Amino acid sequence: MNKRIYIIGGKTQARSLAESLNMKKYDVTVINKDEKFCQRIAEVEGINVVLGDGCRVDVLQDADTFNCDVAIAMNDHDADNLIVCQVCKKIFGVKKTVAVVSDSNRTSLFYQMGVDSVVCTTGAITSILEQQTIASKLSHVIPIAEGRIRISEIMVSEDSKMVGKKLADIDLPKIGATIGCIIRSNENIIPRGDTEIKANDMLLLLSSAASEAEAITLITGK
Amino acid sequence: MAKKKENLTIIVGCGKLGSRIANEIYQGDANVIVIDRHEEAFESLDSSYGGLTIVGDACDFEILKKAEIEKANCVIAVTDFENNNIFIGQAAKKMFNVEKVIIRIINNDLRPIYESMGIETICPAELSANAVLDFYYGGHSHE
Repeated sequence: MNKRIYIIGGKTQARSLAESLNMKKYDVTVINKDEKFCQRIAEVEGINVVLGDGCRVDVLQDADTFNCDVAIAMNDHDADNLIVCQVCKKIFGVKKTVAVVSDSNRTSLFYQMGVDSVVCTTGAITSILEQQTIASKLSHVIPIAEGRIRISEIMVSEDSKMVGKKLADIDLPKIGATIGCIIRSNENIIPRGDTEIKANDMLLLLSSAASEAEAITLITGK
Repeated sequence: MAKKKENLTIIVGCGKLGSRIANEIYQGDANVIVIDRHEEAFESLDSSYGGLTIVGDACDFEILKKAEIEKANCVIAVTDFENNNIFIGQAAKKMFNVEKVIIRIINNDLRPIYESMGIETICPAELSANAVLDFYYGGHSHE
């Protein structure tokens, strides 16, 4: 039996998520207050649609939420998402609740109040944009733990200051960063202090959000 | 570090209900701060109301901190938006350790969830229905 995923609230992102999950063969139900939105989604084969306010017990009941495996609350208003998750969990016994928040300060309260997973959209988008602005030779950035830790790939150019330097010479740990892995012509090297950096190495940098910019500057010299 | 609690009541929402409560509590010699998103709402307060007012969205923790919620021993959230009341109530209870939290809830079904957290919930429809039925069955006359 495929996982039953409920997407409650939201607009463009909700629709995009619903379609994507539906294509991956999940059992998707969309609950939304907007009639036009519901009409459009209803045209997609396979997606169940319920018109109504996903914070309300009667609407969730009509939507058969007792059988929901994962509830994703994507309303614009953070407070609404907290209530959706709490009602789903405490009244309908939904095992996994996910809430989108726009204000990152609310993340810890949401976790405290029982939401299983919190996604801060503002944070995620800011991170990506920040990283795009910081260095041009940067690619494929992965934020972990809500962006508090970043993994980034840095290509060492031929003219980089780092070429020929040993890892121990570059004081990254001091600023809260480290090179976790060096990818060198199809070899993966877990570096030690005496590992020498070569041109065209791809460095996997592990850093906190705060130290990332500095670490990148240190490495790329930009 | 927890700040010392004072005799401070924060009321969120200055509609008919909020302003009535604020006027009353202020007379009772407590420190009162009323928060509302719209400045015009404060016109509902008595001219004798001498407590503080803050214009802002109380779902924003910065506004709650501005109202010194860490020192408050009571938070009353009675806006028209149930979800905001619930959100603010939980923030007050769990994040800011406010002892007495009272919120207005529209949907009676939700009350058990929040009552179990030690939050007092007021459901106007429920109270009104009970009052009407009291009168219907018992024929009390009210002053």
